[in-house]
Amino acid sequence: MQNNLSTVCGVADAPLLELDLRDLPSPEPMMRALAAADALRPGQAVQVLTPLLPTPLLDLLQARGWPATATLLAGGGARVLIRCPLGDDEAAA
Amino acid sequence: MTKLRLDRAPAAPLPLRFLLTVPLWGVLAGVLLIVDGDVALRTRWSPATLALVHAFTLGVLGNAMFGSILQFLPAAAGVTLRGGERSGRWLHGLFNVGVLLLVAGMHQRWPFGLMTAAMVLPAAFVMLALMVVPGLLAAAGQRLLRAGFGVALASALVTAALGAVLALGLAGRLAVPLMVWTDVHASWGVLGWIVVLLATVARVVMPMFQGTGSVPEAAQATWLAGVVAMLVAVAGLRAGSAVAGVVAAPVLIFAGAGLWLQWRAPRLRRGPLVDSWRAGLIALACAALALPIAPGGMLAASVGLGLALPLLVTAMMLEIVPFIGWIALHRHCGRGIQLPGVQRLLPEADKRRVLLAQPLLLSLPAAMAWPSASLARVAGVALVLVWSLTGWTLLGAGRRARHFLRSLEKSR
Repeated sequence: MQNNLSTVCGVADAPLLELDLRDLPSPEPMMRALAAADALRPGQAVQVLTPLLPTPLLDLLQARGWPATATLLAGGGARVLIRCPLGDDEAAA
Repeated sequence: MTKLRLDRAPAAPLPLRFLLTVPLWGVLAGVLLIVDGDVALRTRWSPATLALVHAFTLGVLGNAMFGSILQFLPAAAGVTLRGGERSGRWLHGLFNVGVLLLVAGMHQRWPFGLMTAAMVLPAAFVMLALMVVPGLLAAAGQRLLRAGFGVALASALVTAALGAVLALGLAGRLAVPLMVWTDVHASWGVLGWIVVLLATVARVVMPMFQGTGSVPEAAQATWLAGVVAMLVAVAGLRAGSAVAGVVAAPVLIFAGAGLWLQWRAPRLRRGPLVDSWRAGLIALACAALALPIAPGGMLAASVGLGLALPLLVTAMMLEIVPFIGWIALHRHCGRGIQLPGVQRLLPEADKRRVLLAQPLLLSLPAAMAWPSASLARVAGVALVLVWSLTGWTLLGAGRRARHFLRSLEKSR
């Protein structure tokens, strides 16, 4: 089972982490992506690779007002970049 | 690669409304069988039989198919749905009122119900197409997946249009050769709409949820093209006896391929989902074999529509509904709170209980094979029990989520 966590590049003074969740059984990818998002501090970002476009995750992030971009991959699956906003009070707490 | 805008992501609870309506229709089908007894099982043309069949095909399977499309298409193919949550509410109301009118109209030979359903149900399918097709055409990549959804939706529209004509025929408002066109209507509905949609979704979800391999793209494309060719041939020839064999072949191939994938799975994830799909696919293969052999198609319909296809969709609903409940819980609680996992919202033991109740439904084909009022009513009671248990189990995810929220509030 593949579950790679690797540093790709720096974003807003924090390293950008990439989490490959594509080989995990459903619904693990969604739960782990959300856990990774919850662990972010203001200004940090995480990139997750998921087996499908994680529409519930995007829905939740939208409700929080967090910026995220999703890209469908040619062979199926999606790459989602999640960023914790600088003014996120909860994250700072 | 396709870039997607976050603000186009659909609301997660949109399909939940359809999925939770499925067990209600299963219970209603059981009640119809208890009321009508073996009258509903002796001939495919009696009002009781027509009502029972449509409670299954539209009430049970139709709601599951609508919910699956709205849940799956944005996620798997990046398709943007038009209309969002509000349209979803209208669609749910329109569709289920239409099914209720049709079932009541067929059961009571009620012309107003039949005529109204003949307008409302096609309108519901057109509304679904309007919500889905523009995004389906605009999306990039996943061509085979989108082709599968396209064929299923086109078949649904053809089925609905033929159904409307037949309903007007039953209401005495249109002279229609009912027997011939009913076969065409049923072929497009069961094979083109339900089985094609199931096969399209299965190609993606079987590897994800069950750990199987995937059907090769060329094989699935050939199967899909074959289904389209057969459906067109069925509509063109309208040759009654040949229809059964034509419909049975691709269904048998789908069931066989699913079983083969499970058998050869590199990392099969043992559990209620895999077992339910194995049982459902075996039952579906039996129904396909019975279709050209047993006269009238009644036995095949009782196994396929009453047992096999509902089991396949129930097993998937038991995975999806607690997941949607977990999402709602997350949305409600926000960050920083340890939530119960998806498996705690709907434990494997509860899913296993639903699977173990399924053999009760074998009373349905038994009542078909040896028709008697008492056996038919036993099958009706079995349907009520199994679908009540399914509904109670699905709602269990919501009960546990509410219980968690209450304990959270108390601890604060």
